[in-house]
Amino acid sequence: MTTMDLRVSPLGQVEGDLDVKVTITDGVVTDAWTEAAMFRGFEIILRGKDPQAGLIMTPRICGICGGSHLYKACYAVDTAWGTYVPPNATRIRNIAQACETLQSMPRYFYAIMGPDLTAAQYANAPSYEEAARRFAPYVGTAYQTGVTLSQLPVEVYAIFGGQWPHSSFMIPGGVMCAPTLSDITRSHAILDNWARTWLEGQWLGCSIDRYLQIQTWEDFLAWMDENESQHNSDLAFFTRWCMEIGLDTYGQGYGNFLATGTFLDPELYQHPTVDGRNAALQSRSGIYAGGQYFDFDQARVTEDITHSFYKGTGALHPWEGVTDPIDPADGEAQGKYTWAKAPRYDVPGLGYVPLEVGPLARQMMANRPDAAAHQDYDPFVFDMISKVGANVLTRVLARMHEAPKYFRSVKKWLGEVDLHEDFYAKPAEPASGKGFGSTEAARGALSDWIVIEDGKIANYQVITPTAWNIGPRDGSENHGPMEKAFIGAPVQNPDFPVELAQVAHSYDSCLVCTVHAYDGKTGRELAKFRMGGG
Amino acid sequence: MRTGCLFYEFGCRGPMTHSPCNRILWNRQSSKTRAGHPCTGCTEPGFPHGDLAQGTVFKTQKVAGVIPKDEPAGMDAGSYMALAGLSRAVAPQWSKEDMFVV
Repeated sequence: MTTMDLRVSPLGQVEGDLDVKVTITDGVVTDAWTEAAMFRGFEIILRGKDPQAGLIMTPRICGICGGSHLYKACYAVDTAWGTYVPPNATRIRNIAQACETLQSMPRYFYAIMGPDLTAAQYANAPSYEEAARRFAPYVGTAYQTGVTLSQLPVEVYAIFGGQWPHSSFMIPGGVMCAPTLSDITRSHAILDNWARTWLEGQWLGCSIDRYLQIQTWEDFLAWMDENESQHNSDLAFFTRWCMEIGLDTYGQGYGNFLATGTFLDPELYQHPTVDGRNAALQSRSGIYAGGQYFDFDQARVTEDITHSFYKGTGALHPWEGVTDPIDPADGEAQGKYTWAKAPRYDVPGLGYVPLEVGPLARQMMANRPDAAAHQDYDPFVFDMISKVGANVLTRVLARMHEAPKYFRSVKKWLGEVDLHEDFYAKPAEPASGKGFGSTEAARGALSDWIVIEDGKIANYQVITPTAWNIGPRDGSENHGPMEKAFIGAPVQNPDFPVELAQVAHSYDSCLVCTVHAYDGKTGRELAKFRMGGG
Repeated sequence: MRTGCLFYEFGCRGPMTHSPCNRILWNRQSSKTRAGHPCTGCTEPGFPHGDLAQGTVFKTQKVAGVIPKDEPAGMDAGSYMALAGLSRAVAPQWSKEDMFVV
């Protein structure tokens, strides 16, 4: 038996800094540690500031999902202040949130997931030439159009938000813009062009309506071979290629999921409250753990810092959350190894279970029975997971499955905007309050908790999807969800551990990653590998 | 909002900001101020201005509740206020109406 430790530092093609350390025994990952290498401290910046400061600052946490940060930061203040939000404003917020995610999907697929699909170790697989022709970075035929056209959905964001990224146009009580008819028609035209050229033309090879008839895994497999156009689509080819190179065989994770949901119903959430949120969601919230569904309740969320570079141990609810950083060198002496906290959820009867967030989690919730008329019901991904399991392939399929669904929603909201009605209602600004705002960024549940006292921010905590997924072990030594997903992954070549990149990229984490290789017995560093060379 | 200037009430830093947003456009489509969003001066030294202190976000900082604390380069408070007052006084009625909806 041979055991070695591998440290990937930084893992490439993620949006920040992530180090991955793995122990490999006989060519299979047997243990893993994910290490967020950068301290952010936005919570500390925001303390003592104007209650609306989060609208300026939190969109700057991320360059790819800043609009999602704005969406939830705004609802955090809406709920704390008890605002009235006109239905038009909610529609515009939803359009912007969805368009940002529509940008992220193809950009993620071709720029982050795609390049490793052409790794040299797959050169002997039968379809390698075709994979390289499509997905090779910069020169691949699909890469070029996919990445270039991904800018179109955020053109629509800019029409309403002025710019993407880093707009602050969603404000308590509504939105800043008051669009005109030409803004609406221009948005339709941009999105129709994008759907015709990329979504239907290149990705699906069929109409959105045809694709969304898929209800089961068998439907999907039949769809792939229904005709030449669908067979040759990027989606069908990607699926076949993943099966050829085994991406449907690892990256499972816990199989337990959390979604906080997004897209508030314009009519049902005119008076945003924390308690009224679940019922007003179009894309539903919930927990799926131990084979059962549970309602999401923000009061059950905690962040555990036992293994994170913060003072102390244990877990706190974000309204009581503390961000008190310590020197990583001192932290390491206490068994701490990352800047990420470990978000956990107290599942009734199961306790503090690590939960995966992201499109797979969202689509698992979409299968939950008893959806209201305004809520998304969609059994496809649940059916797929129950038949072939969570893995690198199905995690990516769940993500891309949302593109046609979001597209359809945006078109509907655009059609419902009433240009002669209000887009904003000036709110009262009470001096104290507690708020919770949340959404689903492309990569998963994204939430803010705000406490306002004396007209200033007394406490502010952000939990990002990447923290849920790449967070470390907790006080009970449970692995974080992505750490768990690495375990069992094969590593054919420790000098180029592309499998680790594929697991990490299937989550689309927003951190840049590095792998370091260590000999498990001597602790000697064997190799340092920067994935993707990015 | 479709009417009025963002500078006087909403903390717009457009007059003090040297940035080509309205010339090159964001995402080939628009800019903050075109979309009714007060400029936050995010390309200027000192951003976020006013350190995001209580009462500074999307609110124009004024002296004695009337005169904006910051004016564009080359302007003093007196002449800027006189110019603004004159502009307001002579603005035709149509410029105050919400006439560009459809």
